[in-house]
Amino acid sequence: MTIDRLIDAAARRLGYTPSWRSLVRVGLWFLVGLVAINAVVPDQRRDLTTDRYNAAAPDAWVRSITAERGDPRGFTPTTNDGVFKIAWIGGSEIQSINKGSYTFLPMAVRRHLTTVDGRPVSIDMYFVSGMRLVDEYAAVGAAIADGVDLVVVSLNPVWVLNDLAVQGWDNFNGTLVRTNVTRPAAWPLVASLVGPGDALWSLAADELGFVDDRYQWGQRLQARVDELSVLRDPAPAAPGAGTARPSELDRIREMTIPVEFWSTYAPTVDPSAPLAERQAALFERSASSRSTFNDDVLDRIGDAVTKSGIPTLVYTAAVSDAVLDDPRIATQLETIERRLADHASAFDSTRVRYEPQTIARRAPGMKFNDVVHVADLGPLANVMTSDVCKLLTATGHRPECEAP
Amino acid sequence: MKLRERSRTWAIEALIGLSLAALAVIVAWASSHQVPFVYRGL
Repeated sequence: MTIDRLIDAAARRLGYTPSWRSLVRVGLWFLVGLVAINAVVPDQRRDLTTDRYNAAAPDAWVRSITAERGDPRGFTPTTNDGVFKIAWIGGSEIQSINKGSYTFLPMAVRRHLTTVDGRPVSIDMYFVSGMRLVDEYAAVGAAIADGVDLVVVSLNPVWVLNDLAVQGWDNFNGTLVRTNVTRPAAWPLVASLVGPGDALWSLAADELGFVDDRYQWGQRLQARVDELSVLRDPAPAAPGAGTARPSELDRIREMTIPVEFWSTYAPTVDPSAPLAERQAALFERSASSRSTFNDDVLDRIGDAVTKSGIPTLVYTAAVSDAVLDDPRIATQLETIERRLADHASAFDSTRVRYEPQTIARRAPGMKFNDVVHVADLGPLANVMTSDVCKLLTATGHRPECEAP
Repeated sequence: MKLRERSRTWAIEALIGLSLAALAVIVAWASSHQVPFVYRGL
């Protein structure tokens, strides 16, 4: 065997004969090496101001704290010192995008709610583009671990019960492992998504900074290695340069999550069907799914927030009038709302408010870019501020809420 | 075991252990979702 030949060669040439004790000593030197490297390699802090969402919508008191897709650090919460910290968890439905304006619902709420218990309100947005329910569960765990004062969770009715996409960001796997060690009821759920490798990486990242920052270091390493390569990636074409449609392969390359591929190549509804029909199919898929996976995740979210004792508002995000007014889609939406309502017992606590009905029913007059993406928040910020203030008052806090 | 032999044994083992630690750093950085040269190599 190769190892025997190596040992023979080591004995002949170096006069070195290993023993079982050698293994222990090599292991110890390995650990010494890791500790030494960890002490020398500088810590890589994420600069939240350079985050593209924070750059597009800068706000002194509200910011996205989510790392880039692929970065296993997941979330990097800001300080809790001297502030009333709110964790606002949601996907693209908490944005408001209109011509020349880009903002987030939590920023609009922060304008009406500046102080709680004499402390300025600071909002960490666990904002994840394409957030799925397992991603929300990871964010809930991270927010609780951060010791925030209030948690707000947005459930997107388009995805909350969709069994084709339960998880969008697998770089939160380490967060899932870390935050569920003490929650045995969640172990089957976690074990069905993460592998032993995720657990080991998570453990190593907790102890060693250079492992935790591996995404950032990996990028630098990639730049160096690319310089060595004789192959050159073609420079991306400047926007507007050339009128050629991107090739099919280029379009696939731009896809970031599997659901984008499958919705194109194995769609549940004909992609050339009218928009209303495709939207109806999306809701129908969730309404008729017999999978209980998302139901379990929802219960785990309820279990986590009720046991944390942190005041929590869980609401169902707004959908457009086109959804509410179209009888075909509205029926599917009502089914989803009923299924969400069936989980109320998981959120049963005096410190938790659970709203299974879409908040659009209480905030008429919003404008949308599609079924769920907001163009104009309309009265939504006032409704949300009112809900948050009522919850805070009911849980013994003193919010200074500006009347709408 | 003579002192010289023992020193050599320890030096070799330290070299192996520390080299493995350095290798572990490279693997950790390369195994981030960027997977720099592993991906390129494939």
